[in-house]
Amino acid sequence: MTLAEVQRAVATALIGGDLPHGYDHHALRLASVLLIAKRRVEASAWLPRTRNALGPAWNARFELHAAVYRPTGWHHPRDDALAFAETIASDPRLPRAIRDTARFEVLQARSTIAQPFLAAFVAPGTVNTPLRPVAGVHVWWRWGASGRLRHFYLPWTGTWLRGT
Amino acid sequence: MAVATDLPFLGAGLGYRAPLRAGVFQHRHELPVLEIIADDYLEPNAEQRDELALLREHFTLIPHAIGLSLGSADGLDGRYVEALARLVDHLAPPWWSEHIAFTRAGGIDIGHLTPLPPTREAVDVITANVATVRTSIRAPLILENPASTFALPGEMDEAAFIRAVSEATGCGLLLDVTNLHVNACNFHYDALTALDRLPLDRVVQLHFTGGHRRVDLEIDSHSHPTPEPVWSLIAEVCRRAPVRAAILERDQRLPPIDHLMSEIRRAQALLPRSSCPGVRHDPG
Repeated sequence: MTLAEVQRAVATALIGGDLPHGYDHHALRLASVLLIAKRRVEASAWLPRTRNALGPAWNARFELHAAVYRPTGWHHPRDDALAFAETIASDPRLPRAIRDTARFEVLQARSTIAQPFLAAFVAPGTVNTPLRPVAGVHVWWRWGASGRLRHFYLPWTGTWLRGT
Repeated sequence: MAVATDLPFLGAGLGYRAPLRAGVFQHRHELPVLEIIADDYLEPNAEQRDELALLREHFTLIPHAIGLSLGSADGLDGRYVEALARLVDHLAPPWWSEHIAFTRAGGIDIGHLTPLPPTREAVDVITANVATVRTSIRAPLILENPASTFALPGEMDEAAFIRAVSEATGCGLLLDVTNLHVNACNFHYDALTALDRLPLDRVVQLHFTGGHRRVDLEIDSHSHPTPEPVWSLIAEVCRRAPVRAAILERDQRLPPIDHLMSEIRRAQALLPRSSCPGVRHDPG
């Protein structure tokens, strides 16, 4: 096999596809499992509230996502995490609080991307108590693609302005 | 092809991660160098540009790229090379680094540094890709040895392959001592013996950290303190190689900054003094 053929075969095996003949199948399959674990750890860094909200269900839910979604491009961990969070946010079988937590973290992550962005959101809880909503509205915006990110938080009982 | 000469002695530093920001600045007088993940800054927004500017003001920054896939037989992503060239040009580092590995093949993005089969063809492919990169990025490139849980069949062992790649590309080495330890455990060879067969005169920088064990495999997870066997290897390398910098990598289970600084100080004490000769120059 040429190098290109070897690399294609190994890459296919690592993302859960067919295992190439003549290679250590146990080692490749284990490497594939470890790769999903690595993706899961990286996603939890992007989605700490969703991670806490899902609790023990996080691992299984992420493995379902990883089986069907393969990120491409330069921003692997971020794109992987956001795609996973969107599956959580759109799953009607999950409690509203968990779905809102995932939506919140998608918005937060997307707010770091250099695009004009404006969103208002009824805030979920804190990182450690994601299922205990704190009443309020978060608004993020940029003026133009290269503008500085601004953030405004309006709790129901009072207001203050926070900018960056 | 030229190996960089007269590279500055930088000392022991830290792989920069955003959650460590406050601690990094708290200890900035003890941190001569930070390594940044280049991929995080390839398309920077305003906040990331500000962050880079602030980091540059206080530290020497070494860009460490992950997604170039230098070992890919399919060639390089031209857009990625251009973005990386802009970043390296902007930072003007004494060197930058990538890996003797591939992350893409046949349209599949693996998302992880995958080892190359140790073959002559692989040496030729990585040499051609390095030559392509050098048309866009003039700063010296050093190459890191990856960790792995599986080996691909080839024509030579890992140490011989690393030597062949370093000599063919003219690149210095980023010797990840933890990866050497991990591979020695996983593939049952002696790390010190492997060290004897590596081109230590080409080692510019070290990586060190701690991983974890899963079943019967060592995993390079950057998640624990550096273990004693790795410290022994660091000490041995520093006795024999003109190491210019050593970077602690920590990505998971981040401890208080003082724990990381303790490791960095220990590495600093092991590094050869700045009067050591630089990596030899091979006129291209």
